[in-house]
Amino acid sequence: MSTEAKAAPRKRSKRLPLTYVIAIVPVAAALNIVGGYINGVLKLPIFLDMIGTMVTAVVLGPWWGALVGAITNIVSSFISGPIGLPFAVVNVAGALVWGYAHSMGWMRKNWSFFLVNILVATVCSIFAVPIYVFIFGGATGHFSDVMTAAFLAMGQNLIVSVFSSNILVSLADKIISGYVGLAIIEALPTNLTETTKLPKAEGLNKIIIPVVGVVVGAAIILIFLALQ
Amino acid sequence: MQGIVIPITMVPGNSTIHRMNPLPKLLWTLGILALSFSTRNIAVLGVAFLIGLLLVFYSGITKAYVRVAMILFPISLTLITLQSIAPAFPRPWTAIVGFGPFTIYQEGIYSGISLLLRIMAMTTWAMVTIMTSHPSDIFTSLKKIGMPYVLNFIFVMTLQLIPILQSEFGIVLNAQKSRAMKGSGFGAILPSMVPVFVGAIERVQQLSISLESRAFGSSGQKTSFRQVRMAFSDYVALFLGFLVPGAATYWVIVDKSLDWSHSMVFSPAFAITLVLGATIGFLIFVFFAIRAALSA
Repeated sequence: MSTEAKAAPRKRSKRLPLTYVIAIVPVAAALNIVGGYINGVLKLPIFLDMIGTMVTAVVLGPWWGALVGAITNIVSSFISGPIGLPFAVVNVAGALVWGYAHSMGWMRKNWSFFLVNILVATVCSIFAVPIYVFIFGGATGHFSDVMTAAFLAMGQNLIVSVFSSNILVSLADKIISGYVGLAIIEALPTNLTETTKLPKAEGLNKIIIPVVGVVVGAAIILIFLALQ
Repeated sequence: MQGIVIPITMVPGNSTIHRMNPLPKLLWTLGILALSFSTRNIAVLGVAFLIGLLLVFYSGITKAYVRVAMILFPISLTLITLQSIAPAFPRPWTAIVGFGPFTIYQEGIYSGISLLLRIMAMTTWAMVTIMTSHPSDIFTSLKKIGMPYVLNFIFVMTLQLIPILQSEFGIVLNAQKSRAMKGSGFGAILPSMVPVFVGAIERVQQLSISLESRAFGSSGQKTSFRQVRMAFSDYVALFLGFLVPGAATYWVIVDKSLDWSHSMVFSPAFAITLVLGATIGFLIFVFFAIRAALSA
């Protein structure tokens, strides 16, 4: 067997021309920003600003995804003010979890793909909550502030309340982002996706039921714990 | 991850701040960001906010700034309400007065006001920089001080792609509507992301070929269409941008007497008025948020 045949397959980002990779990053970052913008205009109870991050992290690798995440929040601070700037850390963390989970083969099966998105949501919340609480005092004008107030009314402290509301929103957001990202990856040219190992994209109608199930389940657990 | 997106663009003008090189403006803004994150003293944050406001009036961007401030208003209301009843401060907290099932705390009022001033100070200074500088000028200036060309290209491309992708979303949504599919709300937005992104990626291949043909990534001096020059006054502003916010940040970190969270006393009447006003505004925000979420 030749040396070439024995060698491990090169990373996608190394096989593709650098100019191609560099041109994909702004597209993904712009998609994140536009997704976040549309979400803000429609006042949807999620974020939708990590779909491009997920696609890049899986297709090009975790650190390219992290770059997209950082650029998303830096550039959006130029068009929407500096409130989102500290949350770049959250976008980067999400990219690293998606990217490394994919490179470790944790996203091959339908169930494991679903679990990875839940893991991403949890990691993102862990990074986001200190920013919410210690920089913005628990509120950024998002729909989740309403839930934070509800958890406070149940007698929880601010950190637990912000985490409870954030994890619910984050679970819905990351699972939806993961599956929209999956549909995008499936539609991409094969030179980008030939080495990706992912389950087949499901129709969004099939995803909504498990998403609602997970969020409602988490909400019941959190409300139960808050009332204890 | 932020909850709100406010479209902010450059407001054309000919004020001294408009004519200033973007670098000193960026440095001052970063300095105020560092200062704001380093303190919770309401006097320091208030002064930073007021100076920012003066710059807003002076540079003639008041109208655009007020629009942004009005969008930030719900955030300030939620902050005051949440902080008053659950301060982001270590316990013990000093109770001022009861408020229905809740208690309003001394530290909560202080925390709410200081966090609000922090957001307003940061946003005001950032708005002055963004609304008085052309984005390309900002990145051209950053390139001059050694920001990698590739990173610069990515930033500029991202800014240029945002309106293109936005208009493509509109086209896809209209196409969905014309085929009797859902054209607005949650159910329409998510499926439209796939054709928009894939279409953009297909165009990236052409962009990549153009970049290759123009020897992107080769070594040598890079030129820029927009030329940005540094005047003597810009160097002075740059020097002061290092000195003033740097010294102020050092002072607020070192001087422990600036922690007024326990020494500042708020009367029950003031606390009730502030929290009641913020709560009414907060409930109106909740009503509109829920209505928008249900109709999406």
